[in-house]
Amino acid sequence: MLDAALCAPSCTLAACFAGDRATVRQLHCTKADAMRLRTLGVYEGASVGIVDRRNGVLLDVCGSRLALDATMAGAIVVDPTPA
Amino acid sequence: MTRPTLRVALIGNPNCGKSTLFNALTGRRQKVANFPGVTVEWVEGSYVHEGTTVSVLDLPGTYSLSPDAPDEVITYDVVHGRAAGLDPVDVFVVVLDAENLERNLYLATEVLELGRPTVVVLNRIDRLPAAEMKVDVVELIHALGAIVVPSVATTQEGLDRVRHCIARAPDVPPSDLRASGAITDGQNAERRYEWISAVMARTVTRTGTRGTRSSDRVDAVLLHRVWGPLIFVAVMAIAFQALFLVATPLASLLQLGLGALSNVLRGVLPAGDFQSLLIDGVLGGVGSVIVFVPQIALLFLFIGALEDSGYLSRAAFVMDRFMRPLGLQGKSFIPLLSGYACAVPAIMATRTIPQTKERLATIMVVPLMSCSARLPVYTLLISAFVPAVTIGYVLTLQGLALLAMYIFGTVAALAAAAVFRRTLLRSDTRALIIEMPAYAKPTMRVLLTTVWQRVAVFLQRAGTVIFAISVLLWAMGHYPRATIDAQIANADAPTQQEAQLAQSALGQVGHAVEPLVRPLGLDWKIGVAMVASFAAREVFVSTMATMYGVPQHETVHTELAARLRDARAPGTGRPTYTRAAAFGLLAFYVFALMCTSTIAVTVRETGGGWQGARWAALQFSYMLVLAWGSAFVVYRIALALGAG
Repeated sequence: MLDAALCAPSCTLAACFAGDRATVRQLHCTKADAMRLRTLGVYEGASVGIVDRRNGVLLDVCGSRLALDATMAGAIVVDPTPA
Repeated sequence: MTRPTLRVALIGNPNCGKSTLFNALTGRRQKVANFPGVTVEWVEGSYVHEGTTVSVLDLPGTYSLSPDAPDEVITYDVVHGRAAGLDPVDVFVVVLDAENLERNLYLATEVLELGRPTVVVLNRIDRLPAAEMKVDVVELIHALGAIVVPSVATTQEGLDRVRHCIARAPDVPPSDLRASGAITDGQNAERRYEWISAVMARTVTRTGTRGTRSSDRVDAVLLHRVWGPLIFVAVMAIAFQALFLVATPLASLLQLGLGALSNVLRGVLPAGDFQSLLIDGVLGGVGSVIVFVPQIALLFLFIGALEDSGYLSRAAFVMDRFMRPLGLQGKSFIPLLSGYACAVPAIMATRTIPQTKERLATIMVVPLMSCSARLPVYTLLISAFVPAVTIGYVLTLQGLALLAMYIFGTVAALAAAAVFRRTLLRSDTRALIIEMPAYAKPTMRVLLTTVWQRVAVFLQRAGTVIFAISVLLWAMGHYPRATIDAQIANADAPTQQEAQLAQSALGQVGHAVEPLVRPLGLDWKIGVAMVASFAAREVFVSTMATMYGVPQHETVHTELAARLRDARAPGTGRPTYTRAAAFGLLAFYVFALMCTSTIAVTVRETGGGWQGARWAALQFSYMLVLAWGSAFVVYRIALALGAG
């Protein structure tokens, strides 16, 4: 069965554009990485801003800047938020 | 004397200004930086408040009480009273960065839920206007149910109130966050952040709409796929050129000072062994290392400025792409870069790496990064054997040669890491998740204090290890007394000096190891210096100065370089040290692990006991084999290219 979370309009953080905002839906990574991300404010339901995505992803999370490598950015499923 | 009666622990996110608050409270200077993990283990200081001695622990920065990396385990253990050898903490002080309040509150709520006496310090409130934020402190006190004190640690604003609140904290009922059921599920980040969002809505007013920050525009360049790495390489190249150009005049001044001191001693003390011991042994040995203080201070200043400005985290992110194929992540890059200054704190800084095998691989290769102790050896050999030619208006051949040494070490470290991660330490590489701290102008006072702390450690080594080795070497070089045969009885002083050295205890050691260094084009004298420098590599220079009896009335470093360059083999008249041999020797010092402190810290950080000793033995052995092999190959290639 197709995972509903992966259906449109969801995409990964890696597919978002700079300036977008998005709501985190799923973290497809190891348990330890997911725990770290949640602690830093990237939890399911959190709203994050994409500041830059040319070299990995630079996020605006809880008012601070968080950098993720490209693999991690591709493992986070989000719902882009209309501007 | 007042006994410690109140034990306080400072807890906070990395880069929240916790260490600055620690310095301000206790007066004790401690490293403050923007990269998570600079406070790699707890540090203790104290102050007296109203007759009570307050003992303060500065714990490593952490984002939560669910530890992910070894440095966070230290904080977890202290908070839960499980740290070996530490008394339980009476009061927790949670430091919040007011500008990043939402994320900082996550840890604060976890600590408050412990139900222990806690003071919350709202630090950096001076940055709120620029961040277009206002914080209602009274509302925050109500929301957290805890004492909240606004402060600016850098200017000491609010410190008296912090001290007062710490003293009163044991008498104040602790926060009842858990009892009140405010956060019902302690392990659920979503619930916790929901609660924090509600608190933020009540306590924080945004006075503007924060769009793109100026730091984002800077990051767009510094984190760029192409510009980022290029800028990093340019920054490093400028730093190493500056090291040679700026430090040289300062080093010359030091040399003149030492020379003057030597002349004074020569005038005051009668000629003989005691005068020789003081001037040739102690001043010659210790002095030849002390003259490198300007270069070492500049190196620490440079790395400190990178840390404090916030650039080091960006460099880690930029370098992640290049580290990943080697089996390491960007976080390994910070300890490697710190290794340029000193391998000991660099190995301790690996505690920020969560994955055990990645951390071990980083520890194993950190000593290949050229540390400050190698600088005296590089500078001596480069100034002796590389022509002082200017290329263009800025670059010098000697500066480029020095940069090459650092590049060789770095490439070897990365290659060795790749080998370790594909063999002994194979595992998946963790993803990079790293906070980019706000850019900050480094505080010169803090930077200079840090530089002084590290230079003091270097001088301490010069005053103890290098002093002891210098005296020992002087004695071994002067005894047993040689019987000067008739042929050289009327020869000049240097010839007689060499005859004495050859027959001394030092000379016998050198001759014993000569078969090992002869294939590298080196003689027994260099063999002696190499053996002596196994305890600390900078001893190489002082040993050579002692053996060549370089007088202190001139610039010791320049004089020693000239002596090495002009040394001639007895009988043949050919140069004792060819360029090829010097290049081989440089290669040896790039790769060899000659530092007892590094070996000791490797043992401790890789598990201690036999387990740690095995890793340290492997580290020492592979680096020695690499050093000798590289020296041999470089020597042979240089010979083939006509540098003989």
